[in-house]
Amino acid sequence: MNELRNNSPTQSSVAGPAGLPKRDYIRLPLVSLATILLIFGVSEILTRMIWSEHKEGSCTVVDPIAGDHFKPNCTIRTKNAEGPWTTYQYNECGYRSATSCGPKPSGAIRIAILGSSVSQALYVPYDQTYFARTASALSRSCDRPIDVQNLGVPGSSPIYAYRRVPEAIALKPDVVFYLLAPFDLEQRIDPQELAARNNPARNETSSKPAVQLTLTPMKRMQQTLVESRTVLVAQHFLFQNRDTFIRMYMLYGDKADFLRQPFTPAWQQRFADLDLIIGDMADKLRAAGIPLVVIPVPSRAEAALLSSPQLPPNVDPSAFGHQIEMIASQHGAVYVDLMAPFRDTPNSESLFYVVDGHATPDGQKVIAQILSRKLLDGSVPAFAHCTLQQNVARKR
Amino acid sequence: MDSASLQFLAFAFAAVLIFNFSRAVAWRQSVLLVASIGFLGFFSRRPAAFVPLVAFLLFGFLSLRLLQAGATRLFVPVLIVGITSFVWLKKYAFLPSSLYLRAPYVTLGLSYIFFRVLHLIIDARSPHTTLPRHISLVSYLNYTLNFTTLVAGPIQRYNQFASMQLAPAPLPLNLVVAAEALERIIVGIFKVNVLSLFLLMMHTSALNSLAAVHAVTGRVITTVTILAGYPFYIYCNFSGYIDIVIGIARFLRIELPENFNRPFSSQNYIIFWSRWHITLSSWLQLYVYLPLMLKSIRRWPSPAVEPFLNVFALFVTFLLVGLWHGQTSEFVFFGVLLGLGVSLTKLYQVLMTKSIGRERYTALRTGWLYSAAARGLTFTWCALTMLWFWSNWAQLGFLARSLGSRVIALVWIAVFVGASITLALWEATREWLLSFQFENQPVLSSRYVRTAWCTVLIVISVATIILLNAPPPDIVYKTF
Repeated sequence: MNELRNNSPTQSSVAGPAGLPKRDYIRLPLVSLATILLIFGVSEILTRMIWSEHKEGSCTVVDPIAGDHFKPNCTIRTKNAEGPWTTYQYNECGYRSATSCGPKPSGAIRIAILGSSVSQALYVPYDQTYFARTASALSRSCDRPIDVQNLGVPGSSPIYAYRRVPEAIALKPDVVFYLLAPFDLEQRIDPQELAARNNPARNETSSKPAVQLTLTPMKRMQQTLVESRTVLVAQHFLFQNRDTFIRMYMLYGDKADFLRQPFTPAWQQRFADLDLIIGDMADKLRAAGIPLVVIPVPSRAEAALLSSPQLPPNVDPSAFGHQIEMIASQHGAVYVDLMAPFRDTPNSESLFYVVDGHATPDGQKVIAQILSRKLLDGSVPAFAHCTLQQNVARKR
Repeated sequence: MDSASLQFLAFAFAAVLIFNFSRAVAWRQSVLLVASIGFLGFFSRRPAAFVPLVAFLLFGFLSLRLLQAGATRLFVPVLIVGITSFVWLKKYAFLPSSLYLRAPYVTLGLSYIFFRVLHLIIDARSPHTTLPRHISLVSYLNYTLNFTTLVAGPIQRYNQFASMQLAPAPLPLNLVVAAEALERIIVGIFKVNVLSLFLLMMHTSALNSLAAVHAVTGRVITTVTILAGYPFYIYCNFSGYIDIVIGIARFLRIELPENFNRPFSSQNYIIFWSRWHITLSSWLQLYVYLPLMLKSIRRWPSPAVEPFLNVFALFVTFLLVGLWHGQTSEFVFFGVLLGLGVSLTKLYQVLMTKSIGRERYTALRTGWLYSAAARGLTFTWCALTMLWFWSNWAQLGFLARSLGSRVIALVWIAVFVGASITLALWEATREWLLSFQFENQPVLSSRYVRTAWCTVLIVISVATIILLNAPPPDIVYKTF
């Protein structure tokens, strides 16, 4: 027990020695700052190695008038930090399709898809995309080949989707899908562009604002943080918790206002612009005898709120969908409600890439199931003769 | 509210700010009391839940007053009532459950309050007491309920506490002291919120996966992870908590005693207990071991018998350490193992000294191979005893049945060899790192390195807390 006594320090080691040299008032904070920068640097290198992002080549053709599109017969492989390697193969028209964009094969039902990244099924391998799955399910139900021509281009605003309607009509499809997500409306459509939506070339010079080359230090820092892989990985883990994700998402102002009721004037304006675009889209397609199907794809925030037992005040995750439904029905377009099935799926926010926000292969599966079911309910004439696969099985 | 939670830190820093508004004793006493009572308030909203705790505190205070007033005849009855009340309130398993209070009540910190109250009662009765003649109710409550030490110690002596808390001039709190206190808090947060969290996850995951592992090598590795991981987990958890409260208390102008001193560097189990939960073993040394030794030597006054009395007194003392930890039969066995650990170590020392002589024995102990093996053995015994600390008889039976005697033997050999090598390497690395000197002090302990180190720890801790978004792990000793 003597050893006990000899080894027992009785007081803590936080006794107060003499003061600090003056130079340390500068040096110590600098040491701390340098350490933080070093940690950030090391973690950035490590996270870039582990959560890597790659892009092998480019298939994009930049077109400020008609909107960006893809090079014909081009293939590109990319990987985003949260997703798998994905191959994007574009046919001779530059569409993400496994079949030719030439004349419709005899007996086939052709679907043309317009829209942005949600339409293109960004970061999802072809076989697992909602459109490949839908085509496969419909093909079984209709006993006919389904030919999908996907004109979706990431970053494509509603006006660019609209400008591709003639291109879609030229494909002689049996139906046109227009998929859109709330983030497609984040940027307000330029009123001049909207006014000149049917003859864009005339406004070539005025349609795009001059690119701002100089960034303020604050903006530059913000940009660095946005592009940081460490921040992305941190968000990836942080946003896996639904409550935290909702709390953080609702801190956004205008970006999250599509969830708040009543809609702000800015969002009311966006819906009014969309109403014009979808109206014209439906008119053109109707003139060509092609039905339009409008499909609002929920964002991860909407899905999280739909799964949440308690909603923040004045928040309605279905508000965006209802608004699109109203616009679609006003113009005689078919509306597909994806909200209800996402509400019925537990933890439906897990069907999206956590930070990126696009639907994962599992999310695509849910979209495909609902889409196939909706198309077989008789609202689209091209599928009127088809029967739901389970009904067929039951009959047999 | 756990001591490693951000809530607790926010509460503590609010208390620190208010506490330091004035240097007046009355102000410091009042703020500490309000903060301590407020802290207790986080554990139940029902005032009735505090009645047993308040009754125990009042009993302690009245006993103290009576004994200080000279009623020393009451010492034994008071001691018996105090110990019995503690055993009853803590619901020791050997008591019939019909005796327990039915309504739920707060027992948080009761074990540590018990030690403080007993220390006051025993010292008040002693003719050579150094306790002040008058201890006010406020001072008594601040000493017993001090929110920095309420949950799991450390166990401070009253005089030490009062010398700082009741001093007209409080302990200085300059920039260096504040930085050092902050350093302790950061280290503590890192130990609890990062290290102990990951070690617990590792322990739990290994325990859950054991049944699914069939290959012998896999079973050995998984079981070694379970057994060897737990002592490190409990060390990080408990010593991390102690680091946090020592840091916070220093902002409240109180220096708390240390409770840990690199226990896994110990070369025998007696030294281990002088470096692990130091204030508990010191308390028991003073109030159990020394009186027992004194009485035994008086009863059998023979130098030949004395070493064996020492062995016996150590066994009894550490049996009590085990019993204090819990109310079930597992803890009785835990106590027996602790007692065996220290008493057999003592017996070995006595026999070795007798057989090869003190000098040769000392020379043997300083050899690197002997040191490494001794460290490994101490750790292995610690891991073995802790089996009864974290599991129960059913789990132990399952482990024994599912592993079989061959795997069990391999596991303990692996723990011993692994601990001997790892701890020896750790000691050598530590020594090597400390050998780099600058301005007559190790580079590692320079304020620049410590600043950088603390920055690293706080960044990792904050990142872990934010990213895992999970509550901090419980302070294990909170339940004792």
